[in-house]
Amino acid sequence: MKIHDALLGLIIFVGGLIICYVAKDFPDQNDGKPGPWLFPVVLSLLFSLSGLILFFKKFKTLKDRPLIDVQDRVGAAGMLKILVLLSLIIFYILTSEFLGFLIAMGLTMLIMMLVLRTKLYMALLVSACATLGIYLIFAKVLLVPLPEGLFYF
Amino acid sequence: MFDFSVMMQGLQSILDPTVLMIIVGSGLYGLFIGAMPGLTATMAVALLVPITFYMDAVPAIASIITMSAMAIFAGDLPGTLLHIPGTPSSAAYCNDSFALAKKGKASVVLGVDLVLSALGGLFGSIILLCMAPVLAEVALQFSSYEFFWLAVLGLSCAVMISSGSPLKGFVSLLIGLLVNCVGLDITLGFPRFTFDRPELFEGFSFIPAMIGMFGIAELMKNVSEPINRNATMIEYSTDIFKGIGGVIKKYWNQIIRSQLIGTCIGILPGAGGDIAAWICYGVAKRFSKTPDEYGQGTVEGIANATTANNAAISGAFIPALVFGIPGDSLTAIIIGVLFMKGLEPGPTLFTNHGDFLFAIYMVFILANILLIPLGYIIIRLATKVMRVPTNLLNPIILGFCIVGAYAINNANFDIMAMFGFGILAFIMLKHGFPVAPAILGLVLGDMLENTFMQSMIKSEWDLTSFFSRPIAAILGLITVLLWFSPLIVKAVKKGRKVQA
Repeated sequence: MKIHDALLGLIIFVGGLIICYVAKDFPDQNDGKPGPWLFPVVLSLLFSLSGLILFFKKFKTLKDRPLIDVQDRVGAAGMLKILVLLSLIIFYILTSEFLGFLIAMGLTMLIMMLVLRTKLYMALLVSACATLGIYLIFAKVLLVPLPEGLFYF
Repeated sequence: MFDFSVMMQGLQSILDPTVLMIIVGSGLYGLFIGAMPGLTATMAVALLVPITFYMDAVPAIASIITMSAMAIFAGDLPGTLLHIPGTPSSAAYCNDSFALAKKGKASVVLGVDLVLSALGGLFGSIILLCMAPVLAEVALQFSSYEFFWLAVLGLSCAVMISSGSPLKGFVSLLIGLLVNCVGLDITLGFPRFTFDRPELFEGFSFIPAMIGMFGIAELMKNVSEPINRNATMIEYSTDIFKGIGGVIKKYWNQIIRSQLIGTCIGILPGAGGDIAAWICYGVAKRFSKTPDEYGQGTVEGIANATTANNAAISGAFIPALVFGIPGDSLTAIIIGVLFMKGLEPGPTLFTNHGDFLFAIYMVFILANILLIPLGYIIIRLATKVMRVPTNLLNPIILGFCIVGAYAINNANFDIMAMFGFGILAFIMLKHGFPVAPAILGLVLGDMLENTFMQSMIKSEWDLTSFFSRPIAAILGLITVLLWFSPLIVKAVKKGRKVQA
């Protein structure tokens, strides 16, 4: 999926205005001179201005390309793989405290490998070894307290 | 330059067996990542940074330097043997390398790549060793006005030089600067855009942002557009050093030119090894007696470009160490690591941490010398390394990304931040917005705001004070000229047309 630059310009323009609206309420310094609001307001105004320029620069090409091009290089299969990848990160965040690092990470890698068409036995073997390898590096060598979860590992 | 005791301390810190093991290990890691099509040196550094978090400053920076030097060279391997550049830095001469490999000259190309990459890196290291302390002496006289202009100049270069349109580069820069506004403000400690979440009071951690923007975004690209690595691999002899002396003798003056240009391009903020390779390739073609051979298979073009991309790595360290201004994405990450280690890049680094700096210079030289034996090993193993299936490798990288982001604060919040930055970078790349300016904005945002506010408070909000000191005025003038350079070039061209 690809968004037309003109539409992106509008999104950037509106985004900048929203940031500016939030930042304008930040206070001045104690002596009344510009304070915490100054940088975000200036940057967001420049952001909006850039969006507007992008919109007007690309406005003429609106006829040539659709506003949102759904048929770009990635395709449906590629998009699905991206969604699985992102969902697996969320799956890990939600389950690691409960399941523990080894199970949550093992499952994350296993599912990703299967989605990328790895044979089941190979995916099981490699995901188990890789999870254990990462665990040893981070938990045992670098002493990072990885989530233990229900089963204490 | 350095007194003897400082030099000995610096040498001792890199001759420690653990540090040497880390250097060799990170070198092999860099060679592996560089040789894998689709995995870039910046991604490799982003994945390495969480591990460096647990090291001392010298081994941490040494591992990144060695890894990046090796990865940039190793990117030439798949370019030569599979016609797929391993890193963007090898793209400029990929056609020539593959064309020569098809003619049975793969070993010549690989030999030229290896030896001239090492020579390029060594030359850049010597320039770094000579120039950085001299510039640091000058930088010691700088105040907040000069540092403000340096930050603006660095960010402006990043926008002008970045790939794609300067407007999109500018938007990318603003994204980085706006993200940097999140957290407590420096003047009053007022929380900005924190949404009452205490995790955001110190702003976004740098490492999860890096891992998201380089690791997750690249993974998203890799899983959605699988690389065809089943292409026929060219067979080659491992007798790569045969004839290399003749190549150096024939092109010695061009090699020196490319070393110089490569180092200078590395110094420019925003321009890294890939731009250095393209420019030196272009310059070599422009002055070549056989420009028609370029793109069809020319050792001359390869020799120039492969020298330049490794020289640029060392060049990028000059502004990073002396002024705290990153030359490219790699040095942006290194600046973040230096801050993590309590070492503030800038002229005071040269006065207070001479032993550390000497160790860094020695690491550059050691890494480029090590490139020859380690590079030779990877050339012998290239056929096996490049066949590692990505359907196994990508999920393992995902695992490292998740744990790497978590390891910084032991919090799932950082994994969420990595997730968000990954999506943002993927969308940006897909729509032609370069990511490098956003990274530089993220790194330099604090310096920009701090120096501006300090200068304003000192001068009681007199904007002309930014031009009150001679060096500040010169830097300001250069910056303004840079902003208007496209208009000036246009006007000059128009004037010439009218005259003609």
